[in-house]
Amino acid sequence: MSKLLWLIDDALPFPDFLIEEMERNNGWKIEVRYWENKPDSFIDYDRIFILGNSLSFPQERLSLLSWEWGVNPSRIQVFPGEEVRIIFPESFLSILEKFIVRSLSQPLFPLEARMVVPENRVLVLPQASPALEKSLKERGIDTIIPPPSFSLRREGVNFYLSPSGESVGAVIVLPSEEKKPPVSFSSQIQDTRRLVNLEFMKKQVEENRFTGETIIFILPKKGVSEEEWSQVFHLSWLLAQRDRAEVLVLVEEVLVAGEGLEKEYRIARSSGVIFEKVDFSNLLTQPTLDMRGIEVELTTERDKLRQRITANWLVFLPERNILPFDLAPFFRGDKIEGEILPLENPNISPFSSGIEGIFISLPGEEEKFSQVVEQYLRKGMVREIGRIEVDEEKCVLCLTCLRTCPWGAIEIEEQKKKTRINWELCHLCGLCTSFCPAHAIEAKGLSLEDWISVISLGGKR
Amino acid sequence: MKVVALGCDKSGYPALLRWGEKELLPFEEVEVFSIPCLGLVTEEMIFQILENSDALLLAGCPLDSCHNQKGSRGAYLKTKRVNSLLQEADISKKVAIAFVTSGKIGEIEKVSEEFIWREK
Amino acid sequence: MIIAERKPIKEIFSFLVPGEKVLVLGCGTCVTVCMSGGEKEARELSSLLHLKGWEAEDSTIERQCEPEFNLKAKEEITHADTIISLACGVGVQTLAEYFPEKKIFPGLNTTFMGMPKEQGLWEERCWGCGNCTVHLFGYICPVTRCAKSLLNGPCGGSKSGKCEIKPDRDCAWQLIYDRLKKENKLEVLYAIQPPRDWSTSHYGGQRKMIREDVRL
Repeated sequence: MSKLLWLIDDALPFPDFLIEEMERNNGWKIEVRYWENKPDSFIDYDRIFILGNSLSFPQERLSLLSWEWGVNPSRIQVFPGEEVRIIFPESFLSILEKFIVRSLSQPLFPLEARMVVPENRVLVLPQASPALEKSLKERGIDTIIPPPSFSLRREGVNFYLSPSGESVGAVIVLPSEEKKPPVSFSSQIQDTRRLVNLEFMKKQVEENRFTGETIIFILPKKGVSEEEWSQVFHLSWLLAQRDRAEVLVLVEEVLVAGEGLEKEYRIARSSGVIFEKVDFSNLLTQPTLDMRGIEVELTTERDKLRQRITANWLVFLPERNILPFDLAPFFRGDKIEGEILPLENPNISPFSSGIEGIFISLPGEEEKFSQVVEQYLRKGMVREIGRIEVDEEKCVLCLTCLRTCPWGAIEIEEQKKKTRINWELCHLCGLCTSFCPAHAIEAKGLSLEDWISVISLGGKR
Repeated sequence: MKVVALGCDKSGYPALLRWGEKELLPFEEVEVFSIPCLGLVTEEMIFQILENSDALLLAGCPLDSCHNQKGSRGAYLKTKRVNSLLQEADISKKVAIAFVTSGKIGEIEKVSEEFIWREK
Repeated sequence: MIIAERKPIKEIFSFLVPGEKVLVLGCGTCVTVCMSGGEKEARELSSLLHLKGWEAEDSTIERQCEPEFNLKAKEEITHADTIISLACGVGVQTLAEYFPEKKIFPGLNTTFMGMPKEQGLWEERCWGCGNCTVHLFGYICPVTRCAKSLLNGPCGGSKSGKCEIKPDRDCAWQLIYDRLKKENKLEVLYAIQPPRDWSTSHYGGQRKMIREDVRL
């Protein structure tokens, strides 16, 4: 006799007579509880149904609940009651019953929701940086020194070094960067001595006045740190306010001021500093005839006007490009890791390389970086063990899945002639499943039939 | 015209629901479902859905902010491929993909306009 | 492995007669790996046929170049009116040999022997000349990768390292030179290659390989 638990809330009432009828017709034992009164133990129930809507219960939340309750994730199902009630008020009951019957007839996959926590230790490549080590130490994270020769491989969510046998929870990469000016400046411009960097200007402003002069700042779109932005705002304000200088700040992309910088930006603007978005590819510079200034010709994005401004000083910040870091010498993984770069994806933690557990530290941002690493090492994540699996019979070892997985969660298991999913790294994105040309990878319970279940009986509108 | 819409848990599905709340949708019938990530979508699924409907609308995270890095991109490439197969075979069904966030649903409207024009 | 590409859909449709039962037969080895004729593609094609009104089924066998595997699918094969084989040319012919009475059409154009340069990109590497001498050319086969199969140096028509016949392809001799230069082995090229005996290649007629010791 199947023992079923229904978790409901006030939004959707669950009539008692319905329970009795279903129990009678099907021989089930149904228990209905409000979320606030949920049972202490969930292990006795064959299935746990949530009466709610698909929006509030995405896969991630279900994984978390199955870990909290200590049950096999395939025992928990969401019945989108909200949607069904709106569309089929009359057939609500029979649809509900069909849903339960269908759920019970499906096999339970041997799955487990596991809380995975990386080891509280990191490895810095190619070699440790004192600033970073200090920052990490302050947060209670140990750094290990890379041995003279070693190879790294993945073990669950951690990395294992041979031959020393140590393991770390994360690998930090310190890439090198190249600096170049945001716009190319001819040697003549440099001869004017009026083309300067931020440091120089800062010092000059302390010692001299720039009354009535025109100063133009040129900022690239990449590689300007928050610290540098703050300095630019401060300097430009000072020059405009104190010295009544004409200050123009040219940027390639519209400013996205970070927290705390908004205020500084507004202060600068209200003191008369002009900020303009300009296309750097048609920005021209020329020294003035007396070689004491620089003429700048530009087109503003705003009104598309071509202007020529004579500046006494041109302050530029270099564009800093992070060079790709080659992991291959260090990481003898199955996937040809190749070169990694920081991912610029706002929905994935900053400093990520894409490969889970490998972070790229950017110069000048050690504080923020160590905070991100600390969070990764401490927080832990719930992963569904066994959810996506490779069928040995069908796998032809074409390596498509290995190359496709964005997180690096797939390895070759040669003894069994197939590839294998590292469940501690798997994010259930399903790319391996959908790209496998041999149909050898199954996402259990997440296939077409599984989620187009009940509602495909009709329409939503 | 019957349209099936599939959205990812993170952005597509919430966006589709908001779109569905609007009074006037241009199609007679729309079915909306959620999946964990658009990366799970296969060509086979698309064809199966198209056997019982006129068009499929996929909604997922924008390409450079997919929560799973490449889920949306995988679906995008498959959509392109299926559409070119359908076109080669002279079948008048279509798959469209909209990149949205739960707050910005404009692209769904834009993409569904295409369907209307085609029907006309 | 063997690389093949699916024929244009219109060509495949032109093989078929309305109303007949079609079986799309995929192959589970080379064409699965290069994503032209595996289970996925077989299913795709049969779905397209469905949508176009044909009664279509799909099935995929391990390797169509093995008689035993073909015979395993005997039932589906005999049941169908027409079979679209998504195997390479070898598979199509093997299938036909064991089912001579059936109407069989190739669904793929078999092209070359190659490797995946990266995900989704396969390049030709071997032409099957029957006399492998890649070690004499820095491990880049000029027979295959040079459009003219020159063995003693470039033709001189290449521009910026690209072949004059197919400007989007690299000049093989440029690649050979660059590779040998990098490894400091340019002297290898001083050896003059005599005119080759092509009888070991396709030009000598259909080839065979025999291993007497396994023929019980």
